[in-house]
Amino acid sequence: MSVSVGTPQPAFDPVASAQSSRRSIARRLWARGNGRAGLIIVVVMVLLGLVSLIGVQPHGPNDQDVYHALKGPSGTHLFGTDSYGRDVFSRVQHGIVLSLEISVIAVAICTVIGTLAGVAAGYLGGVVSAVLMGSADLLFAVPSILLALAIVTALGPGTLDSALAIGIGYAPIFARVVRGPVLSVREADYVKAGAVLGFSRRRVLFRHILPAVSGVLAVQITLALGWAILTEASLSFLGLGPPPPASSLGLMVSEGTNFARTAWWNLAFPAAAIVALIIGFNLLGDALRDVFDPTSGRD
Amino acid sequence: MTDLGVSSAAGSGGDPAAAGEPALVVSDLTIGIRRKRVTTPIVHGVDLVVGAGERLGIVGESGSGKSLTMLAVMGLLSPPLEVLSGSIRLGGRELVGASEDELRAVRGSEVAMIYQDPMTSLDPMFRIGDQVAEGPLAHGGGRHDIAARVHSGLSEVGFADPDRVRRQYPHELSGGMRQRVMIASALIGAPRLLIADEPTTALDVTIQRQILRLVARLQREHGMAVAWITHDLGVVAQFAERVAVMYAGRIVETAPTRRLFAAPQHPYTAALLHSLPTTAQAGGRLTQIPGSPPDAAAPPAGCPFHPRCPQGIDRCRVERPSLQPRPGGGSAACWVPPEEWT
Amino acid sequence: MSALESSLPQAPAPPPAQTRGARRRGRGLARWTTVTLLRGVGTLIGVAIVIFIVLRLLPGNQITASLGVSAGLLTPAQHRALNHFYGIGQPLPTQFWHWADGILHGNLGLSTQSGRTVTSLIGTALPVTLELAILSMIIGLILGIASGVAAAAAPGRFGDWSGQTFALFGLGIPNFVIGAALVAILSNVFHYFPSSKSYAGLFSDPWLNFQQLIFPALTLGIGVGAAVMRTTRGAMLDVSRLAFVRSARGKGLARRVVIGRHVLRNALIPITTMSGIQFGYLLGGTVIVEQIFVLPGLGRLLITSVQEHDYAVAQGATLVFAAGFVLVNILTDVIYMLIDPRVRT
Repeated sequence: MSVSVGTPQPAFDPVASAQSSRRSIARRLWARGNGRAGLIIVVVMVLLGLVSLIGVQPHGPNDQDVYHALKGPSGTHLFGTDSYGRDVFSRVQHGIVLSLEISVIAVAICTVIGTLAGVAAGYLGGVVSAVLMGSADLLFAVPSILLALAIVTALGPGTLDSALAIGIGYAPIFARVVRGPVLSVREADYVKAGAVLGFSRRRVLFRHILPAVSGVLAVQITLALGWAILTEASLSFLGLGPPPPASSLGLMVSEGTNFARTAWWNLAFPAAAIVALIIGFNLLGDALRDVFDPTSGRD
Repeated sequence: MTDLGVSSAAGSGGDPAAAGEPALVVSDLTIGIRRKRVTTPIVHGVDLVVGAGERLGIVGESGSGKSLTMLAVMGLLSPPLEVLSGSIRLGGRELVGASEDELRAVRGSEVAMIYQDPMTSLDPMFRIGDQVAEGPLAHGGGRHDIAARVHSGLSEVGFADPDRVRRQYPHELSGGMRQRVMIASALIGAPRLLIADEPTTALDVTIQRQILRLVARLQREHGMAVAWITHDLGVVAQFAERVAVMYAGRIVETAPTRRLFAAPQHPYTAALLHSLPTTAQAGGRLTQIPGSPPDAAAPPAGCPFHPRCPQGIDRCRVERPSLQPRPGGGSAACWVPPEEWT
Repeated sequence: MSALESSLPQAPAPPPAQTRGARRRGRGLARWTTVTLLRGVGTLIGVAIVIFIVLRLLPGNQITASLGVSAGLLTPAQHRALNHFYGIGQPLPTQFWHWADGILHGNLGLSTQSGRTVTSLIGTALPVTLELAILSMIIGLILGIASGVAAAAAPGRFGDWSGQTFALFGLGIPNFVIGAALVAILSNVFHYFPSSKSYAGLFSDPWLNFQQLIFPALTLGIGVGAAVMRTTRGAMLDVSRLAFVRSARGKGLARRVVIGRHVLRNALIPITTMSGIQFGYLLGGTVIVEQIFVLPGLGRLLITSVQEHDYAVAQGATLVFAAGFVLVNILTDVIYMLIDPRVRT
């Protein structure tokens, strides 16, 4: 029995809701413990790396000083020195830049490839969808580190090559994540109405579909950055990253294990930098997911 | 708001079993919701008595607090909801402030509940027989004896082949069958009080009637009390001996069913009756109550119904009426007697 | 790992109710088996093609890689003979066909480095990786489910807080960092070198084998445990909001029983999904961990072969990894059937 007379609910439009809430996303991130911690960690780490580019670093990352090799942390060498007498702090700074550089390019690659594939599969459907998602499943069946390993061996170690190797392994996830919302937006009434009104596909794509997936994309990009940093570090740990004397963080950890007994700082600080970067992006990604998808039920 | 008014109503409801100790006595029960250290009451000082073997209907819109009150009786309120004050006595045992172990001993044996959605009230992973037997096993009982009780319980709710049902999984049964299973599971502990929380809402109309009849028959056979929560006055008319009407977290009227339908003492009850198709006069229009129910956490000052009330007087805006006995064995919380209604 | 966790469905959608009957169920099982096997084989063929193409992008060829400078001393005739022997210089489809035909006959080719058959190389390496993966998975599942249940049982309390911290660091610390730190601590603090002796098989020296595998397994298990913990916690909290949990409590069951029997049993479905995904990561992780702990497993074989451009070995090893992944997916489906009666019928 309909005792109460409610006002009719307006049809849900993710575009409108996304725009109205955009301004407050930063605020809502900050309001969450994980968002705040993630933001602080990422900003600190990124700044720590970037300032080295304008010369704010105690020493040159490759300045050798064999008389002061393997010295512990001190006022002049905050993180100590390595076996060549190079300043570990400056090398970590450089490593962060290198790691971010490769990861950002890698994530750009997988975002573009994955999103295009996901939008195409979701929007066009049919054979296109079957082929694209089939290949995505296929890529899933090869452990992504193996894929990266093979690609990087084939292309040789280099920034772009590493980035490509890492990016391809992650693209299928973007395709899957994007396809879902695209499918549901395509079926949504306001998009169907737009099609009836004769809006062009491009207009539908840019006005409705891309905004609707922007939330998932933001989450996925952040998490992918953490993942890319992890993979890059793993590859360079295996000796498949940028070759010495480049101060790749993974390589530094690998070299650091040789001196773990006498010079723990060679192992600890680069490792801590990697961990901080990954945890920072993971926290940020989790917080973004909470903000964009409050129904996900986590915390 | 004395429970005297209510229990006298129960007595004059003509129920022979009401002479004994009541199955349930709720007095001055207040339930609150806790949000960031601030606790807001949403059920306000409810007094309610269910006599032994009595059939009580509890009517109200969603959000009126009828389900919360009964969940509190089951001891199943979970954070952020909690009982703030008051007393719940079940067969002479105080449940407010009781330990979890004491509550557990009561649940499923003294009081049992059947729920709104039979599709999700059974665990999809376990066989029917195991789920029905679970309660008695938890209360300690011989496996052999329990198996026999499960068998007879399932046949009692109308399963022709209890042994087959026992081995089936919930997804293999229809909604009506699942609700029968829930009923068997509730009755297996021979409770003094059965709480039925809108158990027919999710079912087809014909199945609704079957379930209603089934519960009525079992109530007679077992002699237990039943508190049937519903928003459907039609169900109440068929089932209940006495009705309590809730609005915005309070009881606004209680009366023997026939009395309530014949001469409602509260304008809200009257409005509910007017919106029933069966009582609307032939050719007349169905009326709806204008406006929407208030937020029980922040009810308006005065009588919570006054913003929607056609009979309101100035006093209603400032002063909240309490439940007062009315002629004919009921009580109502309204400043304006029906004789003065326009 | 956490990224993938978010992007995949938490549980398989329950199939629509259908009419029952033993005969029908039997036919359903047969159909399921056929579909699953076909899909598995299809994936493997696809993977084989991908691997083949990717590895052919590698610069250099196997002869120069294996003979090094001395390749220059070969006469053209010798060169041709070797080319013919290894199948170099033929069109790619022909090479692929030879390889695929070999696989069907259990022949994965010859290693250009050691001259041994790829099958025998894999045969010695696979048990190591298999044991490592299974041990890691057991550690990860115990860690993850236990901490996840503890966290979900008291949200916001100490158990939850410590579980979440474990998950945060478990997902945030790469396994090579954990491995390197473990090696450093074991050797420097405890003067313990589990990998100093050559690898002992499970059956030849079980105790030494356990010592050599437990730390690598721990390294991998922490990451798996962290991911499983998060899924377990989330799933337990989701399930405990469902109506049947309330009705189970309404029967008078103890909270412990409700959580242990009803909530956990239902949460096992997403936990199974996540565990399957994690097993895939684990296979990738063995590559790194075997390198750190000097274990002669499939991952190490793969790295060496890739570095030495030993195509046949690299192809074979990757294919075995992919087959493992496909098998785990099938196993996951079987586990669904075991725990969920809705999938069974």
